[in-house]
Amino acid sequence: MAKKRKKKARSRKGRKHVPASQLPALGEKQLREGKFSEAVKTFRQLTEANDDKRWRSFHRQAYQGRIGQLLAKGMAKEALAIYRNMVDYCQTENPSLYFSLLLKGGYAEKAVALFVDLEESLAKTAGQMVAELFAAYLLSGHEQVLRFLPDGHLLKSQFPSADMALQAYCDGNNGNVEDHLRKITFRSPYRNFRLALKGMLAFEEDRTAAEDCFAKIPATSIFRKMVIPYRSIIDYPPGKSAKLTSREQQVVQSLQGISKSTARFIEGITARQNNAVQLFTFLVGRQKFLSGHKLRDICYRLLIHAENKYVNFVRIFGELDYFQYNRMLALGGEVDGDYWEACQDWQEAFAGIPAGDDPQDNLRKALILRHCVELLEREDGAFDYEQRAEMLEKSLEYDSGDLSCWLKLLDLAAHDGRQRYYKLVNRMLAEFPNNVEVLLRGVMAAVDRGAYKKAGKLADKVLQIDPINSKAKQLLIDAHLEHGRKLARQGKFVLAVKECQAAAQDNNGNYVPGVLEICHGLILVLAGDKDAGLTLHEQGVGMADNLVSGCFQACMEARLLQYSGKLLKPFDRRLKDACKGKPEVRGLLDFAALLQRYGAKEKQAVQNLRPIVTSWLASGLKLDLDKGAYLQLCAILQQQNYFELLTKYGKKADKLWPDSPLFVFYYLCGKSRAGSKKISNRELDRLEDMLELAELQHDRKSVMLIEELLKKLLFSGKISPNGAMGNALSGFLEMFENNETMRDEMLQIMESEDFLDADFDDEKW
Amino acid sequence: MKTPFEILNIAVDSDDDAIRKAYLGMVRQFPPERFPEEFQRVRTAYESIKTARDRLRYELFDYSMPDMHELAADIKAKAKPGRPTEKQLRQLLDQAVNAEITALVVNNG
Repeated sequence: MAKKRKKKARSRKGRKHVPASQLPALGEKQLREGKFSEAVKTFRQLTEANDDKRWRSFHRQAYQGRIGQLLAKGMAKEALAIYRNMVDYCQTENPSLYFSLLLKGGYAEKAVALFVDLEESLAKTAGQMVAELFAAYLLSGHEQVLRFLPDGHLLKSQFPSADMALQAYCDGNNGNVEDHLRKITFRSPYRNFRLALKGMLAFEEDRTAAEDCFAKIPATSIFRKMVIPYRSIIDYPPGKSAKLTSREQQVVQSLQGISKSTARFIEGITARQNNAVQLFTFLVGRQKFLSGHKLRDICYRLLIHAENKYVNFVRIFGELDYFQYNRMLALGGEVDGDYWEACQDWQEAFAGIPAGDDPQDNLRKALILRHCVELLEREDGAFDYEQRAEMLEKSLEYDSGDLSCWLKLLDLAAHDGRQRYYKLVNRMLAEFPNNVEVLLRGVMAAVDRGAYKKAGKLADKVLQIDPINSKAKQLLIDAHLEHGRKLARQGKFVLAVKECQAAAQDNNGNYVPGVLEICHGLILVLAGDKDAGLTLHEQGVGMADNLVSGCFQACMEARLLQYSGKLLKPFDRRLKDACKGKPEVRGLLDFAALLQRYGAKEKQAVQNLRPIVTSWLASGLKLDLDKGAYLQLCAILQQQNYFELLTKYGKKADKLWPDSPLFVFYYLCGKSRAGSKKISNRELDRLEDMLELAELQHDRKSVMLIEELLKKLLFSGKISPNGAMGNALSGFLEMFENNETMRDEMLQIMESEDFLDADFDDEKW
Repeated sequence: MKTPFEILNIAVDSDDDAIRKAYLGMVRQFPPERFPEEFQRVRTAYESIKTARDRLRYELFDYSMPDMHELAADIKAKAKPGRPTEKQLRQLLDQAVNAEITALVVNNG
């Protein structure tokens, strides 16, 4: 009673008197704000006072809005009552809305009756849609509604065929399904059900045919929803699934023959794909779903990412053998980016492989050693050539057939003295006698050590295997030319000329322009045929990329042929005159390539010509060069020890690209003459900053070069014993933590008097 | 992620010839000019397992997480497919009817 009174009081309190003149504005405001219940009351007041069409229209809108609100809350019966009020007050009907409200409110019988009454007045499409809705409604287990349908109505007469077809399908009686489906006519509201069931039958045999059947069901048909589970299996690849309702998922599980628990297991493992710890725990808690072997294999692979689960692993599957345990640790280290640790663990794993002649074990050992080298490269940059070379050599003892390993070893040996390099090339030639790559290396090595006949034979062999191999042709010409120079130096001019002619014969126009003619001409001059020689020489200078290049080639060839000082002078004078001009970009880069080419043969001669070409090369600084050109020039100037120019080019490039560690290196390498001259502490700090930057940028080349320069500066005592040196030393000690030789050298420096006299703060000590 | 064996659709213990044959078959199926990405995938897979040495290298140094989607697909492939029960299908229809009615009411309201 108290509650009732309270409610009444509150209701009275809420009711305000609004003057009639303000009601229209209030009603419209309530409509705008979605206060439909209040709007209904306001417009009812207005229509009762004045039966205006306008107020009636607003009144109807308010009712429809309220019905929508109630439906959204699931209050279908209340919405139906409001609809009836709307009909009473607004004298307006909406049969379609009424029909929907009846169904939603659970008054299916009334809805059927209404449908039968209105069927003929409904538009064709709408009628078909509603009929199909009833068909699905009946098939979903509401056959009691059938009695409200008149006899002979298609919904009623064809229901038994559709219903029995559904039952026969679920019982697996395909023959009966087809018999019943045949009775469903083209105009039947069950016709799309027939298509759906046909597709469902085809699904087991021919999914394309099933897809065709499903595609024929109109998008608006309710029976299209029935085949969603089937379509999800067809449309989604194994392991993936569409977003389905729980009922649809149940049907998918039945179709795939997967129990509810297996489905949950599948869902669980795919959801934990990216979390090794969670996945491990999930899997070992549900062991029945996988075979013991499979489960162990997966869990072992998970251990690599979840090492802390090792104890659980051992409890379930037992201890791992020595090899597998260390492999697991090593791969875990690789995942964490700790390559040094990984390398150590791989070596432990290596020790776990049984000794003997088993080819598979030997291959495994070889691969582990090669893998360790790769890891060391990631961790240490270019250091520890020796250690890496040793590992590769050892790996070849276990498996000698891996060409890439040989080539890698050869690259490492190039750092380590020529004799070892040549021996290695010979071993490779014995191992791979018909491999073009190896043969080419053989040619290069033979030219390098003056075995020109051997070089020629090897190059010929390459050309037999690959007649258009341009590299082999170039090397063959190199071999002839080098041999010719050697013979000329020995005074065997006839033979030398023959070599030059052979070189010219092999040249298809791709060799360095002018060099063959210059060399040939200068040999003829030595042989006494001065006129013919100088003419040929002049022809060669003219063929060169530019005059400076031509004159430079002449100077170099004369030096390679050991012309005396007096004879060299005219060539040098001509080069000096040519250098008075200004370079162009292309000419400058071509000349740089020549510097590199001759520098590899006769570094001292290239050095001797430096004073002549310096001004010409320096004027190249005024050209508009791109970054690539600066990189190329700096690299060559560094190789040829043209430090003065390197400083200038490095400095300018550093100004243009201040965030490039490589240019800072080139600048300071030039300034310190590759670490033999002192640089300021500020410059040293900058170099260290650039080292850090290069590491951040994963710029391995810059890291390697800067570290090498710092090492040279340190070992030559060119870093002042101050804070910067302390930084550098502590950095190096850290760097060489695992390298005993380097660490000992470092410690020796630290024990020197200079070092001990240095003024370090406590922290540094 | 699929393993190279899965990409080439071959058994883990296949020999060089079988792998090459499978690779050539896949290349015919995915020529580079028409399917550049798929071809690249196939090519990379082939390169990583084409010789016994490559296969052993893959076996030793592969640390990728086991693929649970593949495992799920395996389990599904081994399952015995069946048909839904009558109850499941009628429930599915009932769900469809309810969704349809709601849509009808909302549209009319």
